[in-house]
Amino acid sequence: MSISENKAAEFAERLWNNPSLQGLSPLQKEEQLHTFIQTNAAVLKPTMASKEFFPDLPWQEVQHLLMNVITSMANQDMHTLQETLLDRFISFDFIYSITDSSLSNAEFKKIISEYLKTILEKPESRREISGPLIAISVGVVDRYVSQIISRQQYVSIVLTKVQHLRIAVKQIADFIKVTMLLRPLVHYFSPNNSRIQYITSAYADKVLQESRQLLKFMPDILLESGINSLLSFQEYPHIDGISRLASIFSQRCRHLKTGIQLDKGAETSDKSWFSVARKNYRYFGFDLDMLYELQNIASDNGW
Amino acid sequence: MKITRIAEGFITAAIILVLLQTLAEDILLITPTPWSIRQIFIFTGFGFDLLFTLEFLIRGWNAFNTGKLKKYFLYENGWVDFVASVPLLMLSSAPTLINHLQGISFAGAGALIGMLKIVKAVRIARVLRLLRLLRLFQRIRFANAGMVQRHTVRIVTIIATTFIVFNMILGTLFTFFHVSDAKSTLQNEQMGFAKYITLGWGTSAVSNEMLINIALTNLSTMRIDVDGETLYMRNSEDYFRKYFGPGDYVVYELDKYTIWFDVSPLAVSSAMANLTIFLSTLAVILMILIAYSPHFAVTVSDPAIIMMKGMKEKSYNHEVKVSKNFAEDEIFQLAHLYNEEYLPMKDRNNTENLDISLNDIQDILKS
Repeated sequence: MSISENKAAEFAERLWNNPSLQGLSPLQKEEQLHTFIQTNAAVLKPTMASKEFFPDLPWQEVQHLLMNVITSMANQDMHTLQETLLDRFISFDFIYSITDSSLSNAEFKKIISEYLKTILEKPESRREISGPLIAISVGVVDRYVSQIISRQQYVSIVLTKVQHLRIAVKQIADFIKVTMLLRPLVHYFSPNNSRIQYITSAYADKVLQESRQLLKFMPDILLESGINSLLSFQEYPHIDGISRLASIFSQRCRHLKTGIQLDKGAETSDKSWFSVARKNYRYFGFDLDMLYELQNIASDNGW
Repeated sequence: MKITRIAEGFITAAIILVLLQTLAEDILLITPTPWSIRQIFIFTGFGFDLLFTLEFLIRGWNAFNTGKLKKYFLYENGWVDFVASVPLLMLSSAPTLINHLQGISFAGAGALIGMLKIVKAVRIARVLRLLRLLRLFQRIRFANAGMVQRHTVRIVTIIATTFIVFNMILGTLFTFFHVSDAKSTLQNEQMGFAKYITLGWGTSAVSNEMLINIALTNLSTMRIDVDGETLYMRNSEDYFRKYFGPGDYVVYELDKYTIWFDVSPLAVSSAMANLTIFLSTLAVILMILIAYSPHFAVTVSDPAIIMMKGMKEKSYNHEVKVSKNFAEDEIFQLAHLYNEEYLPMKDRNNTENLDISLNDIQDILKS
């Protein structure tokens, strides 16, 4: 490692451990630090050119160096997180209840693990996988699905009566988790530097075709569920309940900061998010009735 | 910086000690306590008043040198520092110490009434010591939000100062008007007794037996000497030495008669009034801390803090809890707009705010 790389690693390490970023996931930290370096270039540039930092390097190179180091740090943390998630938080047993796949649980785990590595290579899909990974790791999906089923209200009816899911609560949660993980396929196959809010069904079909090539042994029902979660419920009211929930939970955890103490006089994080999402439901293409029910669950449980 | 912290800690400790001393001093006046113990407080009281006067002068001088005297005096409670130090030193502790050192007991028939009034006025000035409660209160950090701290301190200061200062002013004024109360009754009895002796002296109207009989009915008469011989003594010499100090009695001398009168009930009544004011002030402060301060936080500063964080931090998405009872308050109307308009807008455009700012990495950039 050169002196410059050492200095960059040291500087990035201190940025990474900054208390203001506490509670963020590795990908969130990476995104914030990249944006921070870009937006504060005017201030950072002269400081970085001082003899204490990188006097011999042009700013572009310094910026590149710092951002690369930060990405490496995120990758390092992501590897551990990914393994833990697949080992402890997801089971692929539900697939056998909804498809006739002959792959084993371990084979599915391997496929998803490889898929995640691929997804993380492209900035657009890398950014999008952040929400699903947080949602799975903090147990958001499990705790809401359990409440949804026990309440037997709108969401439960959509899942069991409309989508005809006859599987256990835990399996429904796993189905949503895998759907969420497959959502970034849309971003992976989208043009560079594009920001996708939601897509059309024609676009979804194209992504599905590409995805079949990338994930050869992944059942279509799962790929479709993941890709369709990017369809707007306002335009496509018949998209299945799992995709609608995957869309909500992914967005909910996109900017979630964990382990933060609730301020006095503030509504809880989940309740606040669902309340705000209700006001933006058209913009994000959410199912408003689902948001109402999820907000009630959050409110009743103090989440 | 470290020296300033040590000095501030020292002053805070001194304030706590002087408040305890004020409380103990009054309690000891009410319960019969040997003079040897009470006189310790004369020295410590003077020491504290001197310390706080010096502190005020140093702070004032520093403020003057930096052109911030007005700010210190008016906005940083310099006036509380002043009122709780200089007048006390001049009116209370210094005269008491000097009297004690000189062993003065007030003498002379013409001076009796005037001296009693001065003793009373000086005792009333001790009420100002209670203002130090405010100084202690101002130093305690009891709320996270500076706004709550400042508003609560301001309210407590206004209420407590009004209470204490008006008590002192009215108390002082009352000493100069003829009001028939327990104190004046005591004073009248002593004056009547002295007048009787003055008028009857040298005539057959006053015999030693009569003096003793009258003294027995007048409980404030401690002792009567005639031509240097003790004619009457309410308690033993040792008892007087043990429990009485210079401010507890007055001596009336007229030719062959020397009469000691007990004025300690004045001090007891003054101590009880002081204790009442002290404990009432403490109760007001505690009630404001317990009842008002949280109310202010809930209805003003907490919503403001949440909205500020929501505007500063990217991932902060918490809505403000809008109290139904106070929904019409401007702050909650603002909070309503924040919940209904700002947060949804922020969510739609969540790329501008970052959780980290340049301020957060100043230490890294400087190292």
